[in-house]
Amino acid sequence: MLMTCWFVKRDTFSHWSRGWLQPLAIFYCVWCIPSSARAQKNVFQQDPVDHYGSRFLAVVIVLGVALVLFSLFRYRGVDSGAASWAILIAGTAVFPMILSGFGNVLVFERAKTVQLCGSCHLTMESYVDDMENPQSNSLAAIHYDNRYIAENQCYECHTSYGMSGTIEAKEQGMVDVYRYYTHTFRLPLKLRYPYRDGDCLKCHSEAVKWVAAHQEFQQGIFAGKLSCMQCHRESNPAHNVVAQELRP
Amino acid sequence: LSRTAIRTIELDPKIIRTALIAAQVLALLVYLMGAAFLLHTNGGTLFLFSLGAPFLILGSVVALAGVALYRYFRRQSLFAFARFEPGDILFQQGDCADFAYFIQKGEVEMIRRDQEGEIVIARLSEGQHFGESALISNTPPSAPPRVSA
Repeated sequence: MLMTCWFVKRDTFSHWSRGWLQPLAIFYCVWCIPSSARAQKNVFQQDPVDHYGSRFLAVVIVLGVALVLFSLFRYRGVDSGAASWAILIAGTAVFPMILSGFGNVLVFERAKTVQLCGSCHLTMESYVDDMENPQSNSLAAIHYDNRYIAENQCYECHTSYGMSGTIEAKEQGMVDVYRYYTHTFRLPLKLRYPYRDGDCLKCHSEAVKWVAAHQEFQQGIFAGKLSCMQCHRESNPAHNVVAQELRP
Repeated sequence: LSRTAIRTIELDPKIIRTALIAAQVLALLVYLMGAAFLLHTNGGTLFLFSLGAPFLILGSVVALAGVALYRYFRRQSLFAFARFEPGDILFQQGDCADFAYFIQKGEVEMIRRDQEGEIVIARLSEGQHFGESALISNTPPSAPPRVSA
């Protein structure tokens, strides 16, 4: 963002045009880059938290950086009076706290997206490719291609509902990210615990079609004596990814 | 008026300047992490922003708070703050002065008493000071101050 502003200032435009180009460039930085950075695949699925939250945070970043740079160049690390302290506290404590506090709301939102899971290319790309492949017969692909789950498909099937599910997934995700970037992961990837039937049943258990087709197994499934994947593993594996496809 | 001396460590101005600049650099890093997360969300930027930024903010706040506390205790060690009511005599004519006074708020009359009565020789208000000459020369002040407002 800062680089864009600098470019506009130093470019070959004439003096008269700089007056309105600079605010225009700052507006472009603050308002357009956050949305252009993330591909909006479907305008009907636009998340208002992400849409307005990212713009709010961009404004906080621009103001905060401006305050800190002004303080650095104007006072050069010397505290001289109430004004310098006000700018110091705003730029180095208040705005970063707002950024971090509100930013974590956005972190929770974006942590659910398929794009984020797929960003660990070495390990997750094969799973995302399979899910997006219309020819695949895996459960992930069927759910994704038919939009049985509208968005955040990885998250919906791999975490439980509710706040505790989100935090649990975030904690585990942080460990995964650490292992990915330090190359301490092991292949083939394995789930930490057997897949929870509850993550299937939270959607399917009250579906008329499912109830009709699973009448004889229902009690066993609800009692935890039968597992969904006991029957579905052969015909529809969760993911059509073989271990050989994964290379560290 | 009682005064408790608070001993403070005399810090090199360079240390204070370094602490303030370090706080600002840490804040800039937080903004950089936030911008990276907003513009290019992936596991790495999310990890840094959600876990790294709070620690940097903590460091920045600690540096700021350290300088602010140092400034506060340094000022407390040099000044004692007291409140007086109108009509109070701060010290009597001929008393030994222990303090130089700086008026934060209000008004003080410097009075001189003699056989004919008392005369107001000066009125001092906010920002002005008195008593320093007695402190420097170690002689009793000639005019006792009385709070007038």
